[in-house]
Amino acid sequence: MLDMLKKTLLIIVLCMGYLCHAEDSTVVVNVNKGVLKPVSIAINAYEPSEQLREKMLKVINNDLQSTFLFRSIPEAAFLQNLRGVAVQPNFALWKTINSQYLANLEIHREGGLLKASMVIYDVLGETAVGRFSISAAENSWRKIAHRIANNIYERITGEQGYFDTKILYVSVQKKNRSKIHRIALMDQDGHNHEFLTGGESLVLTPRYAPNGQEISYFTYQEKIVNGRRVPIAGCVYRLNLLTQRHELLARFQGMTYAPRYSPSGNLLVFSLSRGGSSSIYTLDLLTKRVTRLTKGRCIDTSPCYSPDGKYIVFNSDRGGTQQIYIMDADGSNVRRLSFGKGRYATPVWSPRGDWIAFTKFGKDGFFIGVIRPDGSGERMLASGNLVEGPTWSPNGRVIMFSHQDYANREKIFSVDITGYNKHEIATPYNAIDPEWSTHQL
Amino acid sequence: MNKKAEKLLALAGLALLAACECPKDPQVITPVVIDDESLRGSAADFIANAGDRVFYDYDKSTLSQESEATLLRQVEWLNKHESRKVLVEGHCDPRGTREYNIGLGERRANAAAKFLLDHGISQDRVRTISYGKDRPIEAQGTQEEVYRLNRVAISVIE
Repeated sequence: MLDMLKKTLLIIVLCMGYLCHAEDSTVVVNVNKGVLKPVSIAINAYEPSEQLREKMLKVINNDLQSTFLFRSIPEAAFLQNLRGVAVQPNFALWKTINSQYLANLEIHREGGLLKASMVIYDVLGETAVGRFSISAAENSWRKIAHRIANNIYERITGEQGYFDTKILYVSVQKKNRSKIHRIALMDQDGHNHEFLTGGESLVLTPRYAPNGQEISYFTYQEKIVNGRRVPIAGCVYRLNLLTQRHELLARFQGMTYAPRYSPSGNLLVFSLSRGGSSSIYTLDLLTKRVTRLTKGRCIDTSPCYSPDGKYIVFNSDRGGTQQIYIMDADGSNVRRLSFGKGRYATPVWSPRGDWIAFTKFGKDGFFIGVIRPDGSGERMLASGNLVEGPTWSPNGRVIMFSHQDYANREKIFSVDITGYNKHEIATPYNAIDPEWSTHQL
Repeated sequence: MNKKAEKLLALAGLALLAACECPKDPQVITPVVIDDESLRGSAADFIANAGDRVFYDYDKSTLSQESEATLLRQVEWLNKHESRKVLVEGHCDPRGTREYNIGLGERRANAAAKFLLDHGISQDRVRTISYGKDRPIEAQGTQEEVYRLNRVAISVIE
């Protein structure tokens, strides 16, 4: 009841253009409605080594500003220059520079560890709204900075932070007349970039296992004939991220593709194409038992479980053109979800269960959209030539997707569920098939 | 590729160019006389004298009359060269999602392969694979023409 009251109050306050605070954690930015004017925040940080302070501040400010929900006030504008968590803010001075929030941050090295403490203040309310502390190995300074940004985001928006997550994607590098496809992994801000495959074979659609320690991906098994790579089959491999071991997971007669794990991590759902038709199957990863879920002379693909594992959403051309369907996890009770003009594809269930993101295309162009699992509330969030393949942030409030422009440049973009803040995610080469990790770094 | 094969492919290219004056079907083949014994039965011979690809409409896998004519020449060629096997690759233009296009590419490859099987080529000589939209065919021309050339099943002699 109190939560409902807070949310209602929040919406009213937002509509009036004011800011307010709650006793425990202040929620003033409604991520669901979109914010055109960012909240201003001053991060007043103390750390004996100026170099580390600068580096960590840069990460924190980049994280917050990448959401377009926050505006960081530059230190040069600060009127109160005393630093440290014990410093009592002079709210009048922070109000003078129009800082709506203040984060007093203190970082120390202690016994090989980096320790950070923070107090967040609502400047207008002249009160502390959150306290946070963290310690980790010194070389984990980026992780600590992301966690600090998470905490600020959580205190002010009420939503789970996502700055300490990873993005898995397929890097596409043009070389002479061919393309090198490699699975790549990076922090959500583009740092710590690494390639997970060598580029020998075409790889597509990497997907995280729920435990974050394993991925599955589509590739071609090949043999070398007269110095040429000749495909044997399209199949699904898995890669253990800890041991770096690649292992064949699913290969059947025909094309085995479109893998995705169940929320429990015990099942892999995928498509198997044979004789001109693609059907959806599951593979029990423990018993290796294979179960067919759909049948018919159609292409059923891009299956994705609901977060509770009870349903599977997929796209199918069984009705003549590609549309989105939902079925129970055992393959029963299939019902059509999309009824708009055009073709619907690549449905992906939000981690919160409240929305299904999809690709839509037709005469009007290409779109990334969302729809409620009951078929209501359909709206488009982004458009562009050949946009496709949405993936959700762990808090279910941001979507990344692929976009190929008219010059055949393929890049990953991010957009809020509000439809605002569409921006490109920097990658070394062209990039397709993004997959957002559900776990922390 | 050796020089003889290159020469043969160049001749095949000329034949295709001549054929392109015919508006609908770039796969109309003007037979190339092969006077070099070593090239008979080669992949280049197949491309030059049978035609290695059939084209499809957007989101379709139906064989046109022209496609069936090409496939009949492939059957004839495979019957002449019984030791040769064929891999049929299915491709799609980029106006479809990646995973669906793997299914559609397989459907196209299967349509061409089924024609070969239905006309007597044994199953152990025909394989299929789908590249969806991720192994695009390099082509020059308008966007529509490039798209058209990517909606294709290509028979590759193994």
